[in-house]
Amino acid sequence: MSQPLPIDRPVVGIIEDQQAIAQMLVEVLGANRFQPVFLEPPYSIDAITAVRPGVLLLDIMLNQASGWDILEQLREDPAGRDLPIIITSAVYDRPGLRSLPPGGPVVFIPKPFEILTLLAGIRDLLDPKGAVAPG
Amino acid sequence: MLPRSLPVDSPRLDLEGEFAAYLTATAQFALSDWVLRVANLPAFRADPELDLERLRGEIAPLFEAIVDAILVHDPVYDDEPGTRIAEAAGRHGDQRRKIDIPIGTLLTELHELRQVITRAMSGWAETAGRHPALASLTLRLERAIDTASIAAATSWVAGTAPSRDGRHGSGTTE
Repeated sequence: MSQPLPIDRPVVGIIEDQQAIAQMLVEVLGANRFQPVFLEPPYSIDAITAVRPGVLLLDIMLNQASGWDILEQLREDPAGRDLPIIITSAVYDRPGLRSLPPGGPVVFIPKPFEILTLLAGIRDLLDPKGAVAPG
Repeated sequence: MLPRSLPVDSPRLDLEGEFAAYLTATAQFALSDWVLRVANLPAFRADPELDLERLRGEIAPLFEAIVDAILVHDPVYDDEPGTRIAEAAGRHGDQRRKIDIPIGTLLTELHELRQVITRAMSGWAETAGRHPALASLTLRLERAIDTASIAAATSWVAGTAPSRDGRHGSGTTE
C-alpha cells in the first residue's frame, strides 16, 4: 500500500490486519491531511519507529501478533517510549482493565468507532493545544 | 388569501435539498463508518484479506440513489431513484452471494447503512435546527432501505435457486 503524500503532513502509523479497514484508514487519513503509513507484519519495533509516526493506530486482536505485546515492546524502546498510541479494538480486554506500561499517552477507541471520533483523537494526540488544522 | 408569490426560492423550505447536500458533503465519513461497522461482522472478519473495493461492493451507488430518493416527495410521481436503488442493491446482493456472504449478513449491511444515514440525519438536524423535518425524512429513508433490502435479498436468493435442470442460478444481473 503506497502513500505518495507530502512529507510535511503528520505521520500516522497503522497496525491493522483487516485489509479493508486498513485501506479505508489510509484513504480517509490521506484525505484529511495526514500521512498514513500502513505497517505490515511482523510489526518490529524498528520498523514502527523508523517511519517516525506522530501517532500509532494499534489494533489489539491481530492474527500474527498481540497489540498488547507490541505496546509493551514499544515502551521498552527509547524510540517508542513516548509515542502516542490509539488502541482500536472490538474486544473487551480494554486498557482500563489492565495496567499499562509507563510512557506516552494511550487512548482507547472501541470498534466499531466513528471515523470523526478517530480523526479527533489523532488531532488531540498530535497537538493537545489544538494547533493542528482540521482536514 | 392566496400568497402573492410562492416561496420557491426560499432555501429554508428546501429541507430535503439541505439534507441531501449535507449527506453528499459528509458521504466520505458516513461510508467510512459503514466500512468500519461491516468489516467487523463475523462473515467479513473471517476473511481479513478481503480488500476495500470488494467490501464496499455497490454501497457507494446505492448510497447516492438513497440520497436522491430522500429528495423525492412521492415515488408515485418519480420513482427513478427507487429504480436505481433496486438496481444497485440487486448488484450488491449478487456480489455478496458470489463471495459467499450469508444473506443475514447482507441484510445486516443494509441495516448498518440505515444506521449511518440516520446518524448523519440526526447530526444535520442538530446543527441546522431541523428536528421537525426528521419524521418525513426518516420515512423516506425507511422506504429506500426497504426497497434496497428487498432487491438485495431477491437477487441473492435468485442466484442460489436451482433452475429446472437442477443447476443453481448464476445471478440476475449479468
